[in-house]
Amino acid sequence: MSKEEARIIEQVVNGNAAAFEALVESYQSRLFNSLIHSLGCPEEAEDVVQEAFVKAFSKLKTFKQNSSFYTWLYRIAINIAISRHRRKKPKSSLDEYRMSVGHEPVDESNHPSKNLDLEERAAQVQAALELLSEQHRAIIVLREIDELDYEAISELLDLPVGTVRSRLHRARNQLRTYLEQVVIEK
Amino acid sequence: MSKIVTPEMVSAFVDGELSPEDNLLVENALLADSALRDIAEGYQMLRSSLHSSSEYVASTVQLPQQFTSNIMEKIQRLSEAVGPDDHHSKSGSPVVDRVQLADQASDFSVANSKRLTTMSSVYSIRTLVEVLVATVAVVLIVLNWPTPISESGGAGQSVVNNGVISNDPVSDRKQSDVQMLSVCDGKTVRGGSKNGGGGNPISPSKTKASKTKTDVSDQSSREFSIFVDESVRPKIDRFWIMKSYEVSSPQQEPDGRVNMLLIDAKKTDAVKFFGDLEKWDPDFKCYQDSGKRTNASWLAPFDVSKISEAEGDFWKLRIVLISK
Repeated sequence: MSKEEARIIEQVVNGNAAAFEALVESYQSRLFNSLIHSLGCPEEAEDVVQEAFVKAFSKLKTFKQNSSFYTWLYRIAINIAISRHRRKKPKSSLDEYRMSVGHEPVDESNHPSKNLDLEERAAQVQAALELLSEQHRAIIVLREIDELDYEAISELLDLPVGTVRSRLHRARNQLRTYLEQVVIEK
Repeated sequence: MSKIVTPEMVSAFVDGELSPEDNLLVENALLADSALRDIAEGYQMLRSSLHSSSEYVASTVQLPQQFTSNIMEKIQRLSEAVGPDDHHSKSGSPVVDRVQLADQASDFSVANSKRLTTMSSVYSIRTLVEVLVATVAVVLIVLNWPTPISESGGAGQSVVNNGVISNDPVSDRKQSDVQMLSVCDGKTVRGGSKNGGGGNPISPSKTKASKTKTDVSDQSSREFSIFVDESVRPKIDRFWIMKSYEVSSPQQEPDGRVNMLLIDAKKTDAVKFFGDLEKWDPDFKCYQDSGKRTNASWLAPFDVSKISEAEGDFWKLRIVLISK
């Protein structure tokens, strides 16, 4: 954990709640992006991110600082995602979410084919991710989206490093198979 | 004896997570073996796909502009009411707010198998309606049920504990399970093991309230009653939540423990669930509605090995949690 982060945390613990904003701004996008891939729904990811930060603030005094703040925050977010009872409703698409938060849909007029390719590819990847088991999806997202190393993943998921390595290997093989299937179906 | 380079090692090599010795070993192996090179290339292409997807999503899907200020407002309110290191208000009395409820309700770690409490559950109108319907169903079934649960089993009758036929008197522990079954759905389970051998089907319930939402003559849906060890509840919750399902809990013990979960699931998800459930609790029991064209559904032991052949696109799963 960086000294700057440690300093901010100390300020917050000592009563300066406003200092927490720096941590929110530092990690909200990263956490949001990661959770979109884990949860498959940007609306849900937004709710979880918000709740994770609020909970992190309330529990900041218990943070032992033996991992990075982001790792600790991510673990809180995963726990929230697991413990929430979500309505069984269709997940919002990326475009629906963009409209709901006031952003325009992706403008494909400049490079229509390129944007379409990227969007289609992103949709295929997400579809393949959702076919993975929860365990495999979590580890793939942590490694490939969040770019955490094996040590951080093992701490976050409470697994031995060897298990992280073997599970990641299996998850990759599975994802590759599903991606091929998704591409073929399209 | 030289170490063999495996695809798993190649995967770790691509991540830069090998020891220097193993790293050198894999590098040399990649030079010599085209099959291993193909594997490494495959992992790198997969990574490239995931990265480009992630970058695309990150560039096109952003949080609302006021997201940070919304969070800080909540935090400010929280710190004014509670304080960062004190869960009591300034007046000294405990302040119950959403975060505290979330703390109490979701003190759950990824590796921890503690059960969720229902304190933080927010019941939707749909859930309340289900609770009402389930309560009416139980009352009507209990009032109309012709044969009470027999502690010793009468002549020609079998008593089932967790789906296993037994002619022995029900023990105290088993009795509580049987009572729980009658509380949960008002039906006595009389049948064989989960492999569907032997036993008589459940007598039809004669109440309208036990009718499934879709008519039993409508084969587009199925109902399954699943009896599992309550210790696997966290895994069950995690499974359905990660698939974005709502799990309702219409039944509750006096001490607040939940003893039944209801899920309306797509068949594909339900089949996956059964597969995982077999690993979590190999002794779980499963019963299905008969699908017969009667006015009420009744339960029969179901062979889980044939789950994927069951009809219907949407299945109603009634998961009964039992303390074993």
